[in-house]
Amino acid sequence: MLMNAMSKFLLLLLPQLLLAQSTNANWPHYGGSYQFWRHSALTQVNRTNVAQLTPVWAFQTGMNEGGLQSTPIVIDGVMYLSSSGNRVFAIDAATGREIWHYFYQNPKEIGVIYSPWNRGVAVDQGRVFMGTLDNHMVALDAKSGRELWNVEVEPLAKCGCNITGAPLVVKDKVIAGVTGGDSAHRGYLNAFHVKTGRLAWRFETIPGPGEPGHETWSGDSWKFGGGATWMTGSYDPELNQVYWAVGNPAADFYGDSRQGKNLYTDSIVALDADTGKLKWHHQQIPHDVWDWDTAYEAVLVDLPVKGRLRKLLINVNKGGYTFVVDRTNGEFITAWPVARNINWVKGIDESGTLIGRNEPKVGVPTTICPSIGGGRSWNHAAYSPKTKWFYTTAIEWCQTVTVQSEEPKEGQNFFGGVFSLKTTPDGKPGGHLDAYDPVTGQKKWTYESKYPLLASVLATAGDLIFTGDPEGHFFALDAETGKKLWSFPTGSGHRGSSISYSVNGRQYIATPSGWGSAVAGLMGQLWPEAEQFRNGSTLFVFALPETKK
Amino acid sequence: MIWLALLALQLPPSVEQGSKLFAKSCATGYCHGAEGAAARGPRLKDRQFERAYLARVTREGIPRSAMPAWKDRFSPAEIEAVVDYIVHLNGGQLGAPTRSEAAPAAAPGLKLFQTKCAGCHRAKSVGLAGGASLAKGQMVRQLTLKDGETFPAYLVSEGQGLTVVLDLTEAAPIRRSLETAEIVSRGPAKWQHSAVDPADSAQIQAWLMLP
Ligand code: HEC
Repeated sequence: MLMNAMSKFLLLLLPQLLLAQSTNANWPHYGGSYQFWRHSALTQVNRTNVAQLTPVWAFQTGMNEGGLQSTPIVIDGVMYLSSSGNRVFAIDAATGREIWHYFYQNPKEIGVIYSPWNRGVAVDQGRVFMGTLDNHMVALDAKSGRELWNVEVEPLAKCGCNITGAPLVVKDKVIAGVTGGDSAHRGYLNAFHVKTGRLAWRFETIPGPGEPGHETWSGDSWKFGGGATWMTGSYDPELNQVYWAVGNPAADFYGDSRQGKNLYTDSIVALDADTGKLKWHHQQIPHDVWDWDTAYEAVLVDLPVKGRLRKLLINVNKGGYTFVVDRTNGEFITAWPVARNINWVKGIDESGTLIGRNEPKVGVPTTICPSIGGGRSWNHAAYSPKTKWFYTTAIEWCQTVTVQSEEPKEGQNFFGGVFSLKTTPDGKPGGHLDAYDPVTGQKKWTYESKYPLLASVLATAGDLIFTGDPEGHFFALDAETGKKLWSFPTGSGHRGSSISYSVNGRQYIATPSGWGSAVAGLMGQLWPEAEQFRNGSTLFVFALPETKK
Repeated sequence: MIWLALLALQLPPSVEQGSKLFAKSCATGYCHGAEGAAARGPRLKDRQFERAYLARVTREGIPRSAMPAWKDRFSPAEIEAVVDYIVHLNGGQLGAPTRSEAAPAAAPGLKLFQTKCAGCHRAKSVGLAGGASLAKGQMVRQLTLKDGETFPAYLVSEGQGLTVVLDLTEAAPIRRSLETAEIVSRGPAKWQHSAVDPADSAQIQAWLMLP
């Protein structure tokens, strides 16, 4: 009897739990939900009416350099938006009226190596959290924008790193990664107490002497081996595990002085959310010499694999493969390509081992596909529980890499080579957005694009997929067929992450518009006209026309 | 003949040196790209820059951007070589080197102050606004807040209902802005200044004495 009542109660609760992985009125986390689905359960805007979508307000940040690369957060009708130069705005999400702004005072000499953008804030329990270009963490009062605390993570000159990614709040801690994968630096992930700013735990991405994994670095290379944590992780509340992707080893191209597997670079690490202790890791690319930077989002889904329901983690790697692992223990499940032009490896076998590595040698110009800009860039994928498909962009382009030997200098650029972009063997560089079955890697449809697509994908329960392109079009595709249903010219290229939310029952779709970033800059080498693409930094918000009451 | 052709291909030594420096420091990573072909940094190849402009930007950097000042890393001769190389990329004539005022050697004390002290102190307009002066004082207090939290703090400023303090619990100071009403007591603190390396101290003092 009791069991029965319990299971009935659980059944009632189940849809709620499932829905928590999609967003609803709010867009509470950087990835939408802790599971990083970038999926909205809202259906007011759907494939039957999306053609009527109209702009309702726009917001200019005034900071065009580096474009607008962030993801807004929306909580109870208030939007929190960050821009380049560490500006934060609180905005009435229905009208676009500014409630407050906070302009962080960066020192005149900021990061030598990293650029002015910021990719988002985290908001929780009345506080707004942001990492800064000079490697501080700040907390603001969500009501007034007043600074509550400000702490330096590590001096910039020593670290060669700073914070551009959005933090993630888990319970009473705010977790933030740092850049630094291309610097002589030893990476880490920090968790701070939300109230005081005190360091709660630090996970070093490169094990020190005496720690397991230290033996995967020859000599002193571990001290300057990179392993940045520059994007935002995800969280499984049930397992109480935080998942973070650790980037490439440094020097990026020159690996001779760091013999070994170089743990935990190019790995997904699962950490105990309360202590930061390592639970498991899965290394995608041992001893990376291509800058494949396993840094992107970890998408958490539960799907059957060979008839058994598994808790999975999906991560697209910059080298052009998607890796799927069991998120309870890191067991490799499968890997499948998103890019067509991949030649750094012949394949990946059933155990996840790389077959036929094509490693450039010092001083010998070597063609490598994809280019360092990535078989996909960091702009995020989306997962829809309705189609059970995974939607991600991909890029077709190659490069000539020339490896140079290099000595590390603490906190300074440590790259080990140069590259120039090159077209693909078929002479058709470009981008595409595809829908996949994430377990089999089977492609369901493809949307082709003249230029690389560098904006994140948004999926909604209205059977829609949204993204934007470098020429400034923001558009909607049918989630089941990939057919284009609507498009709007925002006037500047797209490099950020669109979201959906609702206020007083009206659904909104918001997208950053504003061209910029390192990868956008690279495009000029293959598409000279891209050098002329206009910068910007505007948030556009769309809705259906209001029906007469 | 072959000998002559080879001679013609040979680059002037400063361009040769500049190309090496450029490949290591400017083309590297996501910066200006191989041979200045552009990446995160702008394209430098096939453009028409004023030589003096190139020299100034290379020396001084561009404030509030990713372009650093190279005067601390390159010698004046190396800066000229890099500039020669960029001029060469633009198909230009090398022209007379811009007379660069030999960059004043950056005081090592300033760097030390910036990395080790500026989070709490302010001197010569460097460091935390409202930070502790380097004079003797008795400014650290043990604060207790309404919710029971207690910590040693340096008072930075007070006014309009807010108290800004440096929370000195850990090695890295945390600047916190508290509602003054939150603070229930300010007792004597047991906080101890971390030891300053005498060698650092001497260099910092030398910098403080500079005009
Ligand atoms: C964590 C914060 C912090 C850091 C970092 C720090 N100081 Fe201090 N220092 C203080 C505070 C607070 C006082 C004022 C103490 C007081 O008034 O009671 C102080 C006082 C001093 C004084 C006056 C000493 C005295 O006898 O009263 C000197 C000198 C000084 N600091 C030098 C340095 C130097 C040099 C560095 C860097 C190498 C440094 N401090 C780094 C917080 C700091």
